[in-house]
Amino acid sequence: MDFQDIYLGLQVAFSWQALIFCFVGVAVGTAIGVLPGIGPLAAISMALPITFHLDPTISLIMLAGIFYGAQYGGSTASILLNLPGTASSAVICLDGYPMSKQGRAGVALFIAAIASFFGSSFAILLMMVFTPLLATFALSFTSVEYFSVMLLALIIASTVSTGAPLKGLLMVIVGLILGVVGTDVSSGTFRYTFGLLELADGVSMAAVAMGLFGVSEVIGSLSGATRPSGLGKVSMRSMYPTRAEMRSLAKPILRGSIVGSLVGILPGTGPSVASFMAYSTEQRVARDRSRFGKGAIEGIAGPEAANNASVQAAFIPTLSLGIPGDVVMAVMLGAMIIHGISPGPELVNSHPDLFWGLVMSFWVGNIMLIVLNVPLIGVWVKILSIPYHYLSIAILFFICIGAYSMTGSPFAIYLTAIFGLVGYVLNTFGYPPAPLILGLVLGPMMEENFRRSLMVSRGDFAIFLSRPVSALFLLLSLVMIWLAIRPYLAQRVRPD
Amino acid sequence: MDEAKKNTSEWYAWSVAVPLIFIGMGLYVALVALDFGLGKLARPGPGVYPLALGIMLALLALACLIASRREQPDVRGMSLRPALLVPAALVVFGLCLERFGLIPATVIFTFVAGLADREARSMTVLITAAFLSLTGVLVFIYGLGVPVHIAEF
Repeated sequence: MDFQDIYLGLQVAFSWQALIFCFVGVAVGTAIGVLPGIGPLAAISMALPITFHLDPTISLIMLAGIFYGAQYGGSTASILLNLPGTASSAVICLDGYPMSKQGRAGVALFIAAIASFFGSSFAILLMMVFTPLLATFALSFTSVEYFSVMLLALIIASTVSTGAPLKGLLMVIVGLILGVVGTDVSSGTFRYTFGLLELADGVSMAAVAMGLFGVSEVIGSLSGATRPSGLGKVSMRSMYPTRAEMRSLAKPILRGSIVGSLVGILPGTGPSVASFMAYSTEQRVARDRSRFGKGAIEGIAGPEAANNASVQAAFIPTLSLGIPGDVVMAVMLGAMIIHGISPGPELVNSHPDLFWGLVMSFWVGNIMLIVLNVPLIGVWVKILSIPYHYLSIAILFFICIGAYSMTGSPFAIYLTAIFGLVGYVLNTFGYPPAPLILGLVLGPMMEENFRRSLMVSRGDFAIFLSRPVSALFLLLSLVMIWLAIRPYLAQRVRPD
Repeated sequence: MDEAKKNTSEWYAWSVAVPLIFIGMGLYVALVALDFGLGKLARPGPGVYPLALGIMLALLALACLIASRREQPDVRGMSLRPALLVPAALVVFGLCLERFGLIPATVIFTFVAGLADREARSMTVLITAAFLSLTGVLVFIYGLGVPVHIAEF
């Protein structure tokens, strides 16, 4: 990192187009974060088709804006309605809603916004320092190391945070198989295309993502309960905490930022894990634990800093290694591939305008967000009162339009519809859809690296073990699999 | 009470069916992969990787099938109405778009999607259809410049 890079990044981030799309991204992100029922993934996959018409850097700036913007908005519904706007803000309900019942909703919202801002800033600084370093280290990677690190990323992603490790692994395999569909790069063979010309280029990641996360979320919300009412108004004057409270926030925010950044860097673990870990950290270090659940401000500040830090930190492995830190990052990676940018350690050096432009846009976006979430909070609270009927149909409509505009043929709409139904069935029976997307995005790269490795070693599998970095990744993969299946084996021994 | 019981037994039937479908899919993928050509280890052909994946899928699905006997059922069960009507609305939109144009496709789409939502009133559906037709024309045709007719008979 030197000042030339930062200057270059600022030039990109302060171009008119970047500023406008950054604003659109963070505003849309805040809105969908505020609304329970639609997550950032659904919104990002809906925005994907639009980005096909944009410059790659601008598209990433907007998509990223939706992701971190949603982390700001997510806590609003948790605090006001006891209903998490995003999965990662579920834990904010625990202390946020009691505060709101005590008439201190404004203070809770203010703390959430401030903690979000500091958590993000902490992780962006880490990103500026460590992404180039990690990328330099990874320049020595060959196809062997790439295969192993991708394998590890997929295994962690499917086993750690899904709650159902066996099913998670199964979904990764399904994703990898979907990644095989299409024309084989090295031999030209058509694989699993069922004679459909539309499948020759492979299964569209954008269509699968819109189906699995957009359509199936709409189905889920239509079959679930309706939204409760009873919203108050939040004025700006009610938001300021006392000075003593401000002072006591510093440490929880710092702890949350550290926990969140670490979780974010690990592949496969996202903001939900980060906010839960930060909450339990706060409980552990607190002198008086009985305050938790009754409106303890640390219970908001820590997790809120953590989920924002983890979102920003997830860009570190994604941009330095090309290994997605979580599902949203996998979708972003897919967007880069669609634009013809191959992710990997060369990215930072070969596309400095993209990397530094994106990083600097994070600063811009976070400053926009603090304005959107403190003085303008009332606007978002109003959004919560839009009836769901209009919203769900409108979401579906935009998915249709987006899918059609990708290729100008209705095929993508049908694909999206199928994956919507599939996603709903899978969700109902506890099969996590997120690992599927990871498998679909990483699949083609994994196969290429696997075949290239074997060609280099002339068919000797020992090459994966004889290179130390690769051996380490494979060993870690084995450990993760063992940890994942151990509970199943233990159940067999002592049934209850 | 009866509703919950019915949902539970339905849920169990499905929770067995889903891994069975995956076992079938894995076996199919593996069998088809054999036709692609396996090549040699030093020069793996296009069939090696999908063959391995197909076998792994079948095995994992088998493990899920065994583990599924211990699962706690989700008593809400599946709501078939939105699960079928929402994708149907998308398909209908796709079918009508190129044949009849954007506005007719949007209106028919909104109607089918409205059926999926039990609480939607006919007034809501009408307003939504009008609103979406307008935004569709503005965003889709004028904004993104996608070559589709507004209406065509």
